[in-house]
Amino acid sequence: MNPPEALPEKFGTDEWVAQVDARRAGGGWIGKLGARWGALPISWRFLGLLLVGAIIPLLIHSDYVLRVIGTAWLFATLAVGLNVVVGYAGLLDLGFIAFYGLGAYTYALLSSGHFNVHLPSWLALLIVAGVGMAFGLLLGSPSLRLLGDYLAIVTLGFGLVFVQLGLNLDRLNVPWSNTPLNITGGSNGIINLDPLHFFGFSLSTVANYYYALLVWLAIVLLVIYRLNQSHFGRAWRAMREDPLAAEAMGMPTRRLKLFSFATGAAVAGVTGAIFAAWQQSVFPNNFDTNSLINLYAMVVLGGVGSLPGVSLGAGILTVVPELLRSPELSRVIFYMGLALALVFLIRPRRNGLAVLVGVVGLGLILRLAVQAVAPGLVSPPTIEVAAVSISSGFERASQSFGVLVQRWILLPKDPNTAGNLAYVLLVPALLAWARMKPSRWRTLLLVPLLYLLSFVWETRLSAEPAITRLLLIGTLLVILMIFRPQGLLGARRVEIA
Amino acid sequence: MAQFLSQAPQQIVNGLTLGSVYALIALGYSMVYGILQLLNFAHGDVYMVGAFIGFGVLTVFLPDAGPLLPAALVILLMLVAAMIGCGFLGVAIEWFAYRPLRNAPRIAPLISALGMSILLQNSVQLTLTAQFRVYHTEKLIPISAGVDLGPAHLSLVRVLVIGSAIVMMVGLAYLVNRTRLGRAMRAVALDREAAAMMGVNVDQVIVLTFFIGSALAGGSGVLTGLVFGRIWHTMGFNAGLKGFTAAVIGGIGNIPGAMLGGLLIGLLEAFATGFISSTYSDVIVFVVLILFLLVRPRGLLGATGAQKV
Amino acid sequence: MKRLNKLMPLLGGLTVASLLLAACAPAATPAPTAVPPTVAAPTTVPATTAPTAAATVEIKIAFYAPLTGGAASLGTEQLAFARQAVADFNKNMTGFHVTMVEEDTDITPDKAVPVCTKDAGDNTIVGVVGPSGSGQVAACSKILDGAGLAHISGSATRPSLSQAGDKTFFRVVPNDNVQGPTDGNYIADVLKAKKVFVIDDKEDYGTNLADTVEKTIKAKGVTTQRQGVDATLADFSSLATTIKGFGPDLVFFAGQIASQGASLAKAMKDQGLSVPVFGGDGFFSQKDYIDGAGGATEGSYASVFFPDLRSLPAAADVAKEMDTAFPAWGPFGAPSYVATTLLLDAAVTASQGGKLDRPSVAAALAKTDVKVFGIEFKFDANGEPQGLNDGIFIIKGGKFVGAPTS
Repeated sequence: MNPPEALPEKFGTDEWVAQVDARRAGGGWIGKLGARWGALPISWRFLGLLLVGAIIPLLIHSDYVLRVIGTAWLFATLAVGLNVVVGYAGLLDLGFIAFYGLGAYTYALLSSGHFNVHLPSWLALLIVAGVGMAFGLLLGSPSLRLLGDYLAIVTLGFGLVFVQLGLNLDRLNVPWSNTPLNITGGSNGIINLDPLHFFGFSLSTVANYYYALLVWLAIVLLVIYRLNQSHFGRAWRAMREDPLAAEAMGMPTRRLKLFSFATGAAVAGVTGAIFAAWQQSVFPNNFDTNSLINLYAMVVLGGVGSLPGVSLGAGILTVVPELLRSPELSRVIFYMGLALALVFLIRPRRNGLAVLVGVVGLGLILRLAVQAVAPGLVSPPTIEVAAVSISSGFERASQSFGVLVQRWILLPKDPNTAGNLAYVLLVPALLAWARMKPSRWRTLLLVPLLYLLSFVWETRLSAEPAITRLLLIGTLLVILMIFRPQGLLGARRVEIA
Repeated sequence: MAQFLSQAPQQIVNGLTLGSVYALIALGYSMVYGILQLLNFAHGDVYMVGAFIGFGVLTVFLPDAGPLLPAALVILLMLVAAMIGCGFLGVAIEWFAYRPLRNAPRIAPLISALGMSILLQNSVQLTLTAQFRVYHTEKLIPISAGVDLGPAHLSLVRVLVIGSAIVMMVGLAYLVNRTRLGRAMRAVALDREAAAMMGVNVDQVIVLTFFIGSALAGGSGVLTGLVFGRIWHTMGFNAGLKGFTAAVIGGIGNIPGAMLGGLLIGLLEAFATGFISSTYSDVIVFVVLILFLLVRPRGLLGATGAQKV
Repeated sequence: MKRLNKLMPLLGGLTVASLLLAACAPAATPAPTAVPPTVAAPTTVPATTAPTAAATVEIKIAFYAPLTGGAASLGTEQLAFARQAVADFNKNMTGFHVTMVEEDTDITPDKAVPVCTKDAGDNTIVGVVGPSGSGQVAACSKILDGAGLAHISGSATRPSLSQAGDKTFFRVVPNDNVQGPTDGNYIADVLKAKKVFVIDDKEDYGTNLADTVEKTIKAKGVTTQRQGVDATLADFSSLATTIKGFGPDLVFFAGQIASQGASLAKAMKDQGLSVPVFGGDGFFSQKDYIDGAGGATEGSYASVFFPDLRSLPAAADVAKEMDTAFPAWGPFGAPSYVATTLLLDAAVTASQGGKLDRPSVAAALAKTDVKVFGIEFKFDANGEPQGLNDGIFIIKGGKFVGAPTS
């Protein structure tokens, strides 16, 4: 335990509380930086980040990068909305993505050629917010009666029903018409939506929507923050920690629950509308279970109940999968990440470096041994460095790095079978290692484990980026819950059974 | 009306087959929830792994020419392999993902279960690819084998499925009601701390519960493969959800309830597909789930537990 | 020791940085050892024989397909064939070298849009094979067309795609407006069915096809009943009972998963109903549709948007290669092979005309008149392939044979 560092004097602070604060602050220069950042007034922090966000399109002109960051704002807003329901009120809503979809579809029906209704954007968004609230109240009403897990399943059911209805309400046989009624466009969705237009200005480019989403995120953050600071926030926290006690103290828990649902739903709805306008189309599969899992991973990673946390989580889980799209780049990130984690997360530092050296050495030894004994098993590198005319310097560098790694690792002629076997060995080994108590053995066993991990990466994972991304999310969720349930920026909660 | 009557018996047969599968999955859910108050999202994926294990055994013993052993023996081998394999898988999942979270806030094991489910699904996709695998049941049991009960045709495969399910359920009922282990399980489900104080090894009971529940799911996976033919890596999600629906309808934590719930859900789905539309059959099942939870959350056979503060 | 601990991050950072620098060292020339094209392994980019001529023209294209998700079995097949096309091209063409960037776009439009945007901004990519799904093409057309990036699809069959007026969309398979009436007319006129039960798979492709077929046969006075099933449905017994109650002469199943057709046929036979199943492209699979049904699909049909490679003598080599590389191949792979080959051909033409860039590739692609697998491919002004028709096959004696035309 680190002795408490010199803190700014807090008048009237108990010594034990001061120690807790110091421990929370974390050691080292990261902790100090975090403490300095946290000491700034929140409005400064907020405006500072907003400014940074606003400057980015002026510096980076790539549509692709702006689209990715814009998507990060989108999901951050959704994550904040979900945070209200799950983090503040403590209600596990697994159908949240349906609110998002509902908002998108409502906008689509009100601003497209589908029914030839073209409402002005401000009116459409207002209606979307209203519809979102209404459905939030509707979906929230079961929560009044159901406990945690049951509510989760009911809301999950709602989410699935929504997607099914979206897929099937394009040929609804109605008694007053001969031709079936097409409400949602089925699997073809609704396309050619009106872009958003305010005061005569129509949002059309990626940069436009980037700013729109940033502005919307800022508004939502402001409103939710104020809500959290108000008596609503306190009431929610009380209700989350112990619903029975809250009710005994006279809090209107029913109304609080409904209100949290309605708020979350309204936020998600309007966000969905902006998303629909941006994509200029909506499809039922935009709102399937995969998106829900992604959203939950963002909230959980960032820290349930923490506004900056969920925004950060959304940012990470939007940007990182994009980075992982290219096998070469993801390889660089993977190995760099491993090396950095070794150096930074293992104390004392020399152990981390020793493990790194050990892994590299083990690889070289194995490779040389196998090449000497059975050279036919090993295959030469299969990556080629592309020509100068069709690639950037960075691309070539990462490809060269890939060639280097493929010379180091034991690359088999048939990567599939070997890789699959290694994977089946790796997963239990990794999880078992995670459950070991910290000891010398644990550090030592890290060497072959990391080698195995690199082997699996080279043979299978780098070839299947989409599956790898999902595997990472799954592992992340499990490992997070076991080691750091409060996520990156959340606060540790203790539930008194 | 006449059409309804003529089709109903066959739909009942269909529903009972489907229901047996769901009942076995529901049992696993119910047992785990009864003991740990945990929604094991990964249970459906254990079912999926069972189906694949069975497929593996089938591929070994059923080359193109024909079965290497008598058909009954092959099927038995498949069931045993899948049940044991899935049992161990379930135990492993509990040890990795749930045991460290015994005392954590309720949301933590739920998220962990979700993560485990994603892990399982995608691990199978990574190692075994996304291709559908097909059980060539017709090489073991000819398609035409079966009996005709009036307008309904009950094929041998379906008899097998329903029969195996009944055998497993009866076995489980015996285990839970007549053996010491079963008594220990019921005690832990009732009050974990009191059972510990009475000398029951709670950890061991939990491990055994997971083993049995997962084994049942694995068996159910093999039966699914045998009767419906196609297996793929995401089949666990839907089946798991319906299994959970069945467990809830029957009264979660209640074993006969899970069986009843499973059969009811199977029948409901068959009738919904047959008489309303297969397009909406999933929707109907979930709407029924939602209505049930709103109107009678403790299910059909569940007891109203007083909530201890 | 404490000082050493403090230095560790710096040392670690230096190590990593030096590793990276070492990687950047002049290793630009590929390994001179020639490795045979490892077509079996999806992890490897097909290695090539080292280009001998100094002035090798590099061509970079992108490939989109659903490599994960519900349609992964189709996407991985398309990928394997496209890889084979690239490998064959690199082997046979001297002076040119192709790099293919493989992207997983799943089957939903929202997953394709970011990929399209990314590649639209990457000026080194001169052409795209894909996207596979019609909804995806619709969602991406503005982006790709705006960047002048030619995109040629081996499986997007929605008719409206070529009506968008862009000059960069091409496809190598006939669209639903051809397939629908072909199938519908066959059902109504040749098979003389009076009652048909129509099933779609609730996906883009299936719904559109089922719509066109239903429209065609209804216009000819056929009674129909329509239902949709999930692509994941395995239990067809309840549906089979409903079909039995309807009493049709034929079941039209616009689906992409052959094993579903087999399951349906088995379920119907199980209940004593022996009615042929008429399926879409996905059903053209010996293994899944015929063998997997254990005889229940005898006498059933499949209509395919591309001829079976095994029936084309010019495709014998490719078919054999793919048997090792992707044993479970069906009808979806061959169009991808063709699409890739046509795109690469256009790139070669453009390069030989002096400029290898997006407009010239698109222009060259529009003027394509090439034979692949012995079939001539030409595009009309909208990017539709000319003169291609869907083939209808019937299962006789456990094999697909051309269906009788009267």
